[in-house]
Amino acid sequence: MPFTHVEIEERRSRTLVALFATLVLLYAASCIALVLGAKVIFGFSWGVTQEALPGPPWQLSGRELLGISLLAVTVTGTHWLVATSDMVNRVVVALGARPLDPRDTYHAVFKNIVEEVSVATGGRYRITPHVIPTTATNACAAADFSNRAVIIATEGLLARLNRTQLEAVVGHEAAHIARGDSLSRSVFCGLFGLHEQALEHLGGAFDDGHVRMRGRGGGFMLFVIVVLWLTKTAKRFCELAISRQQEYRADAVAVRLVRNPLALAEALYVISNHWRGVGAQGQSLTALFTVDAGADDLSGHEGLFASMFSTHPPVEHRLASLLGMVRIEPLAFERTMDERADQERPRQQLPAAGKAPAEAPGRWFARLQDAWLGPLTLEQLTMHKELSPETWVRGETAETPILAYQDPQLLEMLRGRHAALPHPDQPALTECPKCRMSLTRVLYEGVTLTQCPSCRGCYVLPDQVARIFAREEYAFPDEVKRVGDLMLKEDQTGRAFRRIEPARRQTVKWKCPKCASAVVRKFYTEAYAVEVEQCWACGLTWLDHQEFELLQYLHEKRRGTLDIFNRRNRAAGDI
Amino acid sequence: MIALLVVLILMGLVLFWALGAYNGFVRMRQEVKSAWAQIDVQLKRRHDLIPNLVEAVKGYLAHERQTLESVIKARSQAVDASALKDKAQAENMLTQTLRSLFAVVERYPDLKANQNMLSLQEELTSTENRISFARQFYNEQVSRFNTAVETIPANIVAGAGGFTKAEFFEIEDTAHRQAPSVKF
Repeated sequence: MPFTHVEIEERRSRTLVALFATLVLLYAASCIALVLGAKVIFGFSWGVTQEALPGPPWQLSGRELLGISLLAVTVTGTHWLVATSDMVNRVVVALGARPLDPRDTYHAVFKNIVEEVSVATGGRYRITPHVIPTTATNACAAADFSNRAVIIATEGLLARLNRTQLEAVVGHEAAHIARGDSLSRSVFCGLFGLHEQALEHLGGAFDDGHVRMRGRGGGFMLFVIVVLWLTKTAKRFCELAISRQQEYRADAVAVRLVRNPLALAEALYVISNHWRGVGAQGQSLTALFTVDAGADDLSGHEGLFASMFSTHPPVEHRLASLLGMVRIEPLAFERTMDERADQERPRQQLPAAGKAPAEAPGRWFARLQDAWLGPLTLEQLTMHKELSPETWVRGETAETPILAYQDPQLLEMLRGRHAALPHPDQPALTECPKCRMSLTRVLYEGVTLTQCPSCRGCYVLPDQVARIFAREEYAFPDEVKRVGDLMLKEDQTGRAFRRIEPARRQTVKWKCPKCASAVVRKFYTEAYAVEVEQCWACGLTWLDHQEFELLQYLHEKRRGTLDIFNRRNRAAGDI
Repeated sequence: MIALLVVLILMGLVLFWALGAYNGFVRMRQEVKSAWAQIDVQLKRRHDLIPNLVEAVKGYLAHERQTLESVIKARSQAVDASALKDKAQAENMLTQTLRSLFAVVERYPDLKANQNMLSLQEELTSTENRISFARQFYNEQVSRFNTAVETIPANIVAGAGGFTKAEFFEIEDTAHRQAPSVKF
């Protein structure tokens, strides 16, 4: 670490004192402006006649100045206290970030990596990982005064980066936390977020016609807006002053922490080639995303204007300095990375259902209580509480072990015994709504889904969709590709007019097992016209065999064109 | 009179500085200790994972008895080691045997694709990384402490206070951390 703890603390308090002073000045300036406005527009004179005043109306008396200073300090203090309370949680809520799903394999890796990196920083910060369920690629960090910190990644980031790359990104975010950037940025967002929200609300009120610009009231309103806008612009300038250098330094600290500049370069390259927006609420939080998740920024551009007005250094410069450390030519690096992007994916190895040994063996070995037990007779095996369809079993004479439900005899027995094998977090999902079989758990691209072993339909929760859309682990079966291409072609030629008859929407016989609400038949979305059954209340969706893959195929196909677009107009990668 | 005053003030300043330096040493020594505790936690984590790993692969690797036994032996040696130097050596040994075990696992596609195995492998990778990060942090603290102990004039305070150089936790294998997956 280039900074000792004491140095970090000193730096941190210096930044924050500067921030506080700026805020006091801003408020004082605003107060002066408001008082002047009140005097000039309303002719307000605090009970003193105009003649008694020493000078023209824009000259302030000592009493007024004192009042303004007191007011500015009080307002700043209150604002500071309100804005800095519970900062981390507010950021998490505002970004729609969720805690990790302990059963998701991608999330498990992310959790491990965050813990590893926090070991590298000496374990001083309590860093909790969070994810945003979106296919965008970005990450951010926030921290508060009690050494609590969060590192938030999007599902897209977890899906697209490999372990070492993700580690480098987490290292970069941890560097921001250790250097105190995250804290000052969180305070910054908390402080100025209020202004921006007020401005947005006011703007909205004008648009809706609730507030009108008429007479003196209108003039005053205009004044308030101008002041708020000035504050916002001032904030923007403060942001620019701190951000660009911080990125380079955080990259350097990340390399020191994780010792892998190449992985960080790879990660930056991947992120810069994908959509980085995270749908942050309003503009007030973009400073956290080491910055601008928005698309209308100049971060990717070169030149004096861009370097003055954008918050992020161009990714090329960051890449160049990272690649310099490992002595690789940027052009050669980009070529290799582009080649790697086109690699083929393997097909998922589905457990072949019903492929059982020709002769059902009389006795079994089973993997129970973390050990191989046996040989057990069928009765003994049935008696065992831990036996599940996903228990590994091996016939006495068989060579290779199989999963219990792959053997017809055991499946029959299990169906009789287990009414269902519910999703660990969704105990209501026990039975296939179509064929009444007990559902089993399957792991698809790191997500635990509840699937029917017979018809292969599955229940999907709204959160899980974003995760699977983001991940690109397996290739698609040919039939899915055929149907998907056909649908996309129809869309392009404008021949498709898809509609579900209103009468047919209501024909779903079953109720939502989670909330007992009605389930309707609908297209997944208008853009992805795959017919699904969905609970209108909680959003639980049933997808028939391969419908999920079809949806995913359509999504990736569309995203594919987006990727090419992004690759041509490469914007800055911010992580 | 003035000379006495000056001498007194100077002595006071020196004393003040010496106290500060002493406290600095105490703080740094404490940081080294807590960094060492971090390594210990992570090493224990690895030792606890190995029995699960052995259990998971035992069924498949009936013909690879020797590899498994060497892992178990290396683990028990690592658990028993107490001196810092022995510990480093035993841990290196354990890392090497684990690596050969994973090389063997690569030859069994069924085992490689097993979900249980995959998650164990992830846990072990993570633990290895934690150990190496904890070691990195520990060594940085030690290097800071040792530099302070040896630098003039603070070394006088260090000598008087009984602060001696701390030992690094070293590994022989420099290619220990996973190499980047691209080759140019």
